[in-house]
Amino acid sequence: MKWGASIGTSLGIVASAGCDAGTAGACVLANPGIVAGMGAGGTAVGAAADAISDGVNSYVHGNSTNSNLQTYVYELVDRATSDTLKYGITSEQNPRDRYNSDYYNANNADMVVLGSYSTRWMARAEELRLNGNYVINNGSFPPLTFRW
Amino acid sequence: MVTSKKQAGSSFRFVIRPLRTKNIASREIAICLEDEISLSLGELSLVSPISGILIMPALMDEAIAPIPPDYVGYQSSDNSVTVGTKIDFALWERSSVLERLAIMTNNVLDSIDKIPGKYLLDQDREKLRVVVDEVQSRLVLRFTE
Repeated sequence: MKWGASIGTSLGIVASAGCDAGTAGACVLANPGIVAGMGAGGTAVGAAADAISDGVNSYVHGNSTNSNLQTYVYELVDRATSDTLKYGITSEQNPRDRYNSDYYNANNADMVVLGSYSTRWMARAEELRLNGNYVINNGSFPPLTFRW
Repeated sequence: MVTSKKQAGSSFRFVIRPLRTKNIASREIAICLEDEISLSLGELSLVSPISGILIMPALMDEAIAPIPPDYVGYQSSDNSVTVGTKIDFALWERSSVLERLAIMTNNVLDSIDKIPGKYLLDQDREKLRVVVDEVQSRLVLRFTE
């Protein structure tokens, strides 16, 4: 079953799946109460998450060499309000390489490192979980999220 | 030498964005430093070929993520230099606000010193150092009011 489908049918399942995927790293369920209470709203989240899940699958199967890169999971936050602007991952040895000064300046953004994983796949799983939780709480992806 | 996408002092970007883990508060100090430095830069005339500096002190708890190596890099996409140097997490955690201001200021000064001369000319480097020192003095007064 795709992760998105499991979100749509049972939030409890996806919460577990997301965390199982990342447990070897540092996965922690951030807000189980909110996840458990999602209910029917999960369908839309599921559709969005399916797209992410497809990306995960194609990455793992299509690029096995790179899948073992240590990968940072990060959050871009508004420096004034601390609101989430984006969740992302980067396998750059130095996550600073991900964006330049214009990007930080234009978006008034700070990068917060949430964790690191020994494979890119596990980082993707954590990114999926974070985006899923955000959509549950806010009804859409964070504003700077790339649209699949 | 970088080819000139020349910038006047008023449009030079000086951005301080700590690379931090979730459990570390550094935002307010970085915001104050960046805002005050940017204000002061408006009065300066810089002649270096770059149009911006991004300083990203690594303020990270290694229990959450490994600290990336210190870094100096030129980004052609916006003609800027990014510099990142580690801040001692344990030292930061046990420091007062004023001590943290000093730690962050020293990191900024160290970062300025690490920028190669072909990007940041020595005369501009000295101007920036003076500005950062002045800003720290102003912020000490503000934080102790």
